[in-house]
Amino acid sequence: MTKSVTRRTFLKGVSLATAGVLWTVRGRSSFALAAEDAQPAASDFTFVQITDTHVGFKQDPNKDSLVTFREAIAEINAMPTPPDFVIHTGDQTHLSKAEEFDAAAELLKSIKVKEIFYVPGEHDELDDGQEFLKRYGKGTIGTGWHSHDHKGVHFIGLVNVAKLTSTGLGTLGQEQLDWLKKDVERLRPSTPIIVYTHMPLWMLYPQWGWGTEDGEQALSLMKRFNSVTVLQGHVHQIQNKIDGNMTLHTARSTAYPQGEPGKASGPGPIKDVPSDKLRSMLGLTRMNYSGQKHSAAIFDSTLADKQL
Amino acid sequence: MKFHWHRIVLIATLGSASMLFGQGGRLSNAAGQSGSAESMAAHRAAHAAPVQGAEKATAGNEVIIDNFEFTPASLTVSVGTTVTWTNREDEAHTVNSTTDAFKSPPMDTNDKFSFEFKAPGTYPYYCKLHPQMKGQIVVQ
Repeated sequence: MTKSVTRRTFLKGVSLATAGVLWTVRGRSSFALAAEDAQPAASDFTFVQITDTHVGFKQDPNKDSLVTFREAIAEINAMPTPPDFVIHTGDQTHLSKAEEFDAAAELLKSIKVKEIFYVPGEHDELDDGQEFLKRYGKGTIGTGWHSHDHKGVHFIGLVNVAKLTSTGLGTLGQEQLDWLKKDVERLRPSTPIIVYTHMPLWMLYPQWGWGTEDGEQALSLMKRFNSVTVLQGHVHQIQNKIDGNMTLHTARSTAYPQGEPGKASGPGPIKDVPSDKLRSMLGLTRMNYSGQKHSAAIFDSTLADKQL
Repeated sequence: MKFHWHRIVLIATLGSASMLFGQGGRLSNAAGQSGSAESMAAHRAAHAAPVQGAEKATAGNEVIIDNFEFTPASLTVSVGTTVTWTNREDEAHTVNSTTDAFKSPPMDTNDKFSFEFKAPGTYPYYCKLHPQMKGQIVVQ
């Protein structure tokens, strides 16, 4: 854990006024290596991560999470260059109710994008994942895991919330790990990998259940790749970890912020946020890939910035 | 460490006037939709316990969910007692028996869940959203 905290400082961002922060993820210049391998270079593209929309949440500090969800969608729809796709990394709903999924779906279909990829959060699994799988299970395996390739980048959606440990940690389970092993073994090390899942795959703060018990096993299956990026939600704030060629990043929620690990009394909503400050604590994440420049970048924007 | 050349670049963004995009669509998410919402008062009335005992039994029938804890974590009741859990927190929680003896629906803030314990025994339970939250009901 000490290693994690130390390395995290490498990613400490500084912000100018209300600026968003851009983290460039160069890894070992995976795209340059890809070019050397005479593979087709990935072309430029952008995608957006939205997470923890918690439709149905109506407590302090946000009495209507649909309003801020709509604002987040407006930001996506206002992007000068539309994203190739959107990823929703879970806790779409607050209580897994069918009417919450319906309301979420109604908003999600207003996003001007060709495709949205989904993984569930634990708040979407209170009915053991029935509603989620009914809506988003098509073409996925098990509790909803899946992968796809896009312009030379391999994307993997993992589910770590179907079964939590007795200490509150996420788990992937052997079946999913076996699938992951098979999914990546055919890939060259130069293939950039982007994983998305709900709970942090690393042990961010196990005291609050912020981690995945067998996450390290998943990460070890990807150690041989030159560039691995893991995008997560769950913690309703930005946290980073860099470990060699791996960059792990958590995005802000669009519904409510949660306290920093160890600083708050627990992992629940921060209740006493002034209404004029709330939107600076909510947001979205954009990721840009440039095949030309052999670089990738993670950009966090708040709902106050409105500059996704 | 092999390398770490993640570079940090800042880009300035312009602040802009905030806009709200409509209200509406608020979900009705009524509290207290638990399956066996038998009120404690009714239960108390049904059991003609001595007044003093009834007072204590009332206090002893409740479990409060707050600060990611069940309080009391261990509650001892007599056979036939209906125990009511109340979520006093802004976070959602559940009450799930580890042996599937009882299971609450997802509990939003101020939601209640009640269950009548008809057989003696120890009933451990946890929160499905936060399994580190644990409690037990001891029925004598």
